[in-house]
Amino acid sequence: MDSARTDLLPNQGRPRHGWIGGALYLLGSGKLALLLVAGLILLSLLGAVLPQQGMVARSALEIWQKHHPLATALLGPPGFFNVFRSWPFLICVLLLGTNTLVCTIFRLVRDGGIGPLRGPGFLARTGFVVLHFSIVLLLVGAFLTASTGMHGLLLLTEGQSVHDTHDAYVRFTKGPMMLQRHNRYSLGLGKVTVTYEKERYPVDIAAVLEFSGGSDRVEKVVRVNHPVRYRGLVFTYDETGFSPRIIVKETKTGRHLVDSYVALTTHKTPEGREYRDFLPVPFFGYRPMFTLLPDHIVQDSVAVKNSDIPGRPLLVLEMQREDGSVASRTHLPSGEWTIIGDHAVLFAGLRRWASILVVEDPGYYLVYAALWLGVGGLAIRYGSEFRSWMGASKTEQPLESA
Amino acid sequence: MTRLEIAFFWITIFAYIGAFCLTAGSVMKSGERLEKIARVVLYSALAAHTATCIVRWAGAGHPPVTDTYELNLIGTWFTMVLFSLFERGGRVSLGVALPMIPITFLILGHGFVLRSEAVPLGPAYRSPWLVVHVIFAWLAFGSYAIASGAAAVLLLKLYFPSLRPLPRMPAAAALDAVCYRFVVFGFVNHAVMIASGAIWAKNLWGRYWGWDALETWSLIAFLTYAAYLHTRSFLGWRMQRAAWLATAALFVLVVSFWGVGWFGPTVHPGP
Repeated sequence: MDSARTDLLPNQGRPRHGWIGGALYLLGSGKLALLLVAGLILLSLLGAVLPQQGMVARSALEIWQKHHPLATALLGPPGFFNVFRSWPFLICVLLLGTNTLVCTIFRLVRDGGIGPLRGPGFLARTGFVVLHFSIVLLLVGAFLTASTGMHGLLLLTEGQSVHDTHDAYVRFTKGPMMLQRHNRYSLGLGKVTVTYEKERYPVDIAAVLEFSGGSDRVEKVVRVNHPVRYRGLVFTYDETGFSPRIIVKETKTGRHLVDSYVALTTHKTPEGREYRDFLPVPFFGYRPMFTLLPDHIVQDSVAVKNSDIPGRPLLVLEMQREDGSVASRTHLPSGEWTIIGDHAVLFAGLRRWASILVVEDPGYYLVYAALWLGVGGLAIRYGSEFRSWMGASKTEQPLESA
Repeated sequence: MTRLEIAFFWITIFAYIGAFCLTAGSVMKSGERLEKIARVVLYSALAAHTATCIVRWAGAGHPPVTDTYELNLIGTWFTMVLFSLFERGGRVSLGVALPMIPITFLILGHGFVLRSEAVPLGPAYRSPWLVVHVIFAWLAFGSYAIASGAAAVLLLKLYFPSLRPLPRMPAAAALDAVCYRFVVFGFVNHAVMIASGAIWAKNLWGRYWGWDALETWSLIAFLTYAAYLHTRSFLGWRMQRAAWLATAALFVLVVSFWGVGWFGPTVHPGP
């Protein structure tokens, strides 16, 4: 090993080659790594304890901030209410990546490259290099995804199709350096199948996706935990629920005011799932709330949900006042017109809706490779040490001594 | 819970209490015969614990990994199996069981209070990564628990050297070494747990990391143990400093497992 190399090593005294050597020494030092890890722990703790944008509802965040003015004044400006995108966090991650890279290079330089790694402690030293290289790879992969990837959410009812345009997505975020735009596919939602066990517990949810792009037409089945790929995009099953077809018309004129499948939100409660939502139209000055009972029975003259499996579906229409109190409740059996004042309402059919996550993740393979490389690196780094501990007999390593 | 499961559960609890009392007695009196009996009772408790897990598994039709009761049951089982294996191999002293058994007992009790009906696995759980994720999680948490047990005994030994039965426990340096080795073992398993969880999350939620409360706490715990390893390497921390850090790390781990709901919403069903 030549002297110039030796001078840059973190554990062989201060460098003697000016500010570049000094900076490199500092960047690759283990103490800096410790400081950065401590910083990341602190920032992550803030992220775990403080309400974070995008994790909690905006109103909940505002209420929290109103009740904690001092904390908001101190922690708001550096961006700690969105800490994982704040500049202190990003600087810490960037510095840790640089520190890890420089530290790994130092190790390689000190050991004279990859070849001379052979010899005593070969496994531990190789493990160290592999592990730290994997951290750099992980950060590069994460950066690629964050800067050039996209994440969208589509909401479709069975039989509905959409084209890949910005407005088609319920939610859409993309990296600042994403080059490719929309218009890559059209997607239709076919049959959604929910399989139940013991007539109550859903155990599998699958949907047929019909893709088309140019002359290309493909049908794929997406299920929970089993995403599908199409043209570099990954389509993941997110949630499912019911979309009753609701028709509202004026009895005098016969004019249709509403005729569409309305995707009801699925609420998970301790008693089970509830399917309900408001129809976003004023109805006699009330807010019309629709609740679906996929299969119902009547107990003491009250309709109650019997099962989540569609059987005898019933739509319950509640007219709510602005304060949330219920003015009237009407049962709408499937296929029967119900007259409410000057209007007739029909529950005309039931379909399922599905929300599909559409993800473009260019850093995917790097991140995956880094994850397993990191695990492998750790195993190599500590495996030999652990093996020698396990291999030593009780008399060689008595518990009473170090 | 079936009657059989409840019966095995209570046998487990009482056997662990017996093992604790006998271990304490054997450490205090340094009696070899008492130590042997303590070991037999501990293994009996573990056998009853195993039977409880099997009965639960058979009743639910899937590994017991879905709710707090099941996770606590299987988690404490992993911890005690790991401890027993290493203890039998002579790598850990039986005395380390003194802080561990009460913790196991409390975790089991906490799970029992929140026990629920065994239900079929939901679609989200029907992934091959579930087993990998849970097994490595419990190997990690079990190792960390043993490390913390050693750290607790070490700290007691350092601060109260003459307190019975501490003088009869292994030397401080040996306890420090045990703590370090189990942190290392736990750390490797923790890494596999995070990696497998990330892959599972990618298939389930379309992203491998989402800064969800549970993910964040898990990362904090991982970084804290990384800090433990780095302080040993770069700052030469040993004995009480390292033991305090291992204890603090266990606290973070406990929060990451049971306390996530206190701080924010999580998409993980978790305990």
